[in-house]
Amino acid sequence: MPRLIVATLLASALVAAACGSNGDGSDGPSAPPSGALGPVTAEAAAEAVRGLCDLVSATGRAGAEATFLDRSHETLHVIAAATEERNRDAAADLLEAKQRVEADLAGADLPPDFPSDVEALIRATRGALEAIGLEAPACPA
Amino acid sequence: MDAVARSRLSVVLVVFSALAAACTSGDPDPSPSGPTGDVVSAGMASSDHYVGAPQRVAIGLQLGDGRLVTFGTVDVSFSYLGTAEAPVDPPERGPAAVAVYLPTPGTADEASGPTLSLPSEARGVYEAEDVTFDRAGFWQADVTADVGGLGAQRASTTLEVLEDPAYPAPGEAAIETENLTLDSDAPPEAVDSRATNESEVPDPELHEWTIARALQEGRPALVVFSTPVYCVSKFCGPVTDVVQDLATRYEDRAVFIHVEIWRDYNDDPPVMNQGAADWLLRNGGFTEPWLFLIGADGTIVDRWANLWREDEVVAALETLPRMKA
Repeated sequence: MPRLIVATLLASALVAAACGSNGDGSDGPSAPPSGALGPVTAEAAAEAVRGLCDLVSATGRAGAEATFLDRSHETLHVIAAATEERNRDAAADLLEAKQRVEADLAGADLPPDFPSDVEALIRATRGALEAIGLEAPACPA
Repeated sequence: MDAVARSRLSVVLVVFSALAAACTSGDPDPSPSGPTGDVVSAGMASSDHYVGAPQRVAIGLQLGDGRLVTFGTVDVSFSYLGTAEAPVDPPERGPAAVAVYLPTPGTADEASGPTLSLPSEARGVYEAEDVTFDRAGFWQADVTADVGGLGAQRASTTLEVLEDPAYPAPGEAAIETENLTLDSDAPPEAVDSRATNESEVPDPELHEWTIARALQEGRPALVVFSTPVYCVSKFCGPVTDVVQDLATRYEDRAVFIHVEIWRDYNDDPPVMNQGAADWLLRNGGFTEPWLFLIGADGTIVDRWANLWREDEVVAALETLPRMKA
């Protein structure tokens, strides 16, 4: 087994041991999917998707950028890093869709295609989450 | 090109950072946390550290709720942990430094002391300069900061220091790389990953020269290795734009080159551009982005990882003589 994987498993075991157990003897929750930027928790993923859902209806660039950066951006990077370990097509779709939205936000105003670009990012995010075994909430109707 | 894993170094750092950061909420001797009970965590934002040379060390600080520690300065002290074969306990004290806030390009910087910011308000890292490590192995970086709204905070992370740099370093000869250009027989997205979305390379001025040609003609070169689309870091997109801007302002001082990391990100296994692999692929892994300034004599003048201060790069460019046409 490659030294890298051995080292990672050993360190993860040390972390789990150092932080203690559940105390009641039960097994702990299964580890969240993880990549080079760390684990993706279901909660963080859900919040990132909810942020994108709200982004679809954004009308002002500054507010849209704040919503994207504060609620979704970092977690999308973490999701992509975890996804590329398992499904590079899904990771590529996510990263390409994310870059389109970032390019939209870099302009002076939101372009007409912004809502559809965000919806594409939502679809790509769902695809990536499915690839790593996580579900994403539906956007409010 | 074989499948490329993420840098072994960065994975080890993530693991060790988890060890360093784990269980801090139970630590009986934490610095006072703010009214929300948030704890600041630290993570390395620089890489390829090596023995014997002064270098930049960058660290990011953030809370679990996504807010970042921004602005001002923090104190960093380094302690030697030993090697996997010979750990040192207790850690041995090493250098100490003041780390200054380094904003992500295009984001705010303020003269105030460290404070918490939402990512939309400010984002960046803290950079200590001229840090010299005297031994190879693992080191712990202990950060202390007086954070507005939180008070005194402490956070730690770990880094690996190599005996020699893995990547081309200042004082070394640049590699004569035949990177892709607009004239290459390659898909546009292999020249710049943004062509995937934009159908054409968005910054053609960064794709006119190969590093090899610049070296052969004795021209200084500022070279950024990055993947604006397929980057899984927070730093890639803006830094390529910074180099594009510098290219328009200093075209008489150097040639400016962007080397895209991926030839084909989607392929199984994924395919790295040979030019990027020449400079960054080591033992099956790599980190990016990187910026290298190469002198007219082909020697690397300086290099920067992840983020850099534009005024530092500008100062370096302005020391170069104006090129003949």
